[in-house]
Amino acid sequence: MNILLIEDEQKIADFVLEGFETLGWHGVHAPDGVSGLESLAQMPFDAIVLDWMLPVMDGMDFLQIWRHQGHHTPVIMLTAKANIECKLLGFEMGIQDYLPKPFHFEELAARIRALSHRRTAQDTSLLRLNGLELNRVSRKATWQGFSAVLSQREFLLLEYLMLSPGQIFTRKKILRHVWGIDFDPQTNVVDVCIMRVRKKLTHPGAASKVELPLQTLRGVGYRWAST
Amino acid sequence: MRVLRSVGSRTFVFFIACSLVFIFGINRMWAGYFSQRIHQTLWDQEITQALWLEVVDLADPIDMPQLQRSLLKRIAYSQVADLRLDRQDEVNENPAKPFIWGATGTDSLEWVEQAGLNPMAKARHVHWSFEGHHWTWVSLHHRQQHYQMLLDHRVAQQSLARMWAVRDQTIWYQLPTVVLSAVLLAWLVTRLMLNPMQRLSQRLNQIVRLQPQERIDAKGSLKEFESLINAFNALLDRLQISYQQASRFSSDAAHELQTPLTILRGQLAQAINQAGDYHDVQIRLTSISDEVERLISITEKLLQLSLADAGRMSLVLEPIPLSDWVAELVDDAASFAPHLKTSWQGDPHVIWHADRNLARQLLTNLLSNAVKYNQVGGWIRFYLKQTDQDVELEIHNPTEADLQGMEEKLFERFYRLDPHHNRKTGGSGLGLSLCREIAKAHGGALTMGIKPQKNVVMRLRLPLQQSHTV
Repeated sequence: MNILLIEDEQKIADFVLEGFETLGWHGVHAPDGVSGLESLAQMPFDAIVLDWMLPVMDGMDFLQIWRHQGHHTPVIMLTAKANIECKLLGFEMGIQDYLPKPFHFEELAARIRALSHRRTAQDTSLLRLNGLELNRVSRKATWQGFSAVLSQREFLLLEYLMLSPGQIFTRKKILRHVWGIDFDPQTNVVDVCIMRVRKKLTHPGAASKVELPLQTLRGVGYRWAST
Repeated sequence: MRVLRSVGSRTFVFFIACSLVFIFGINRMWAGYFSQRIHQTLWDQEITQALWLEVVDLADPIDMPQLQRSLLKRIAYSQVADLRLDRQDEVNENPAKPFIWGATGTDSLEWVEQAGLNPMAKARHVHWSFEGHHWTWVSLHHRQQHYQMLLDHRVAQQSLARMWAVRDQTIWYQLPTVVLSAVLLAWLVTRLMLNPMQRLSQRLNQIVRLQPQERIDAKGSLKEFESLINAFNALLDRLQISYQQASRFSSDAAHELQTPLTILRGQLAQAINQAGDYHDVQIRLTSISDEVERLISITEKLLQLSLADAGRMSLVLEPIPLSDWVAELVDDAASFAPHLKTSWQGDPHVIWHADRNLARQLLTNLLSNAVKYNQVGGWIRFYLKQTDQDVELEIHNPTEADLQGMEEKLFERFYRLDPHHNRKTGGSGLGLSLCREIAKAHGGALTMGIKPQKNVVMRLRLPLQQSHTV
């Protein structure tokens, strides 16, 4: 997948491009709107990640010119201004998605994936990874031919980890994302939840157990093992 | 005197005081005028009872010695002519009829001027004592003539008393009318003065609460209010400028922090993944990453607060099954705080129109607080109640902290009850403040109460139908 990143902050561009690389995607960096248009003239891209505030030519001007030329490449907007007016203006200008800074790289990757799925008309309600199938509507998870319906929190946790394979998540990060709490309750709620997911997806009668790629790194966090 | 702290009561007291002065001052003179007329009528009657009556033209000067001599002559004459009535000892059976005593000598006549006996300028009483009996000599102006009368003292006193009674009666009859008119006047003046003021204060309130950008036009108001309105407008301008500056500062600061935080977060995640599993560096980096997340969370809250301050918290309203959410919260609490007994009761079908993300943040923040500031073996109880207009959610929990008198302080930004406690459990001191702003943006209110035995009650009141979006 070819992705154009138009972002003036070199350091942000560095880790995003590196992230793309680990996912096997090809990322091209342009530091402003003009060089972005130049890159677009050289090769086709599957998606554009566009920072809103840029030197020389800002995101809005860039979009106007790009859309005016009749192109429909999906655009994800990155911005530090997380208000609704800005969001609405972006959608009016023809962006497909929106991500406020500071963002997680995993979330950006997930959104790019969702956009490309939308383009290829794939079913986004199903998340398939390392042999595990997660239905986002019914919250049903299938592993080794064995299905179980997850609770809301179990589902959120599994989805969170699965969307960023290889990424380690700390307990606090998980608590914040899954339970929405900002503090450490000093309990093992995350471990318990992980344990429950593992238990639910382990066939009681199965002779040869294939380990679920849900890893616990003691003292560090949790990770969905990447293949 | 709290009562006197209102314009209405002050006006009323002023008018009552004025009326009293009127009654007992001006009215006394007025009543005096009337009583003089009554007096004359009375004297007209008394004349028939007078022992002696002499009419002198006003033009002629009164010769006092001559008058006295005339009086003495009169008494002597009455004695000579035996006009004396029956002497019935000291008791006068018929006070209307004057006594006449036989005079044994004229040298014991005694004149006593009694000043102040009669307030009337034109009448003059002279108290005359003769052989232990008292007479009143009255000199009265009437129709261009002096009437000189000699009356039995008691009869004179009675007439006078009657006159005063009539005068006092007139005063007391007037009193209710005067008080009533004072009340009416006070009410009228207060209304006239206060109505424009009330309208003005309503308008000011409206501006302060809902339309901070608006200003009042001084031209339409009373002249006296012009300077007040101008001062208020100037104050609003200044407030708005400093408010905008403060709000823009935190908003700008938060924005400026976004980029470095994005870089930190992204590069840290990479570094954690690249460090070998269970490596010291990885463990240290994850703990740094937690702090970065905390920093991001604070920045996000600051940004939200600055939006709320500017009245630009954006809401996308949708129906939210509040009862289900509360039940979910109770389940959550049971999972991440199993040491606390959590329960809820209330209407199972409450729907609230709110912004999904903000509502979620509000509820989880409140739950977080109830968990954080709970006590060993404690509990959390949710009560959800729906009325015609609003939904009320109460969260009760016991606490170890002494919160008496802290009900408002806890909503202040960055207020920390116990810094050590906070450091242990996390938190930024912005949660409650943000909760209150979210409630406000939805037209509701968040308050805190302390019940006996250190039980905290968080009371969230939300309107069922969102009337306006802020």
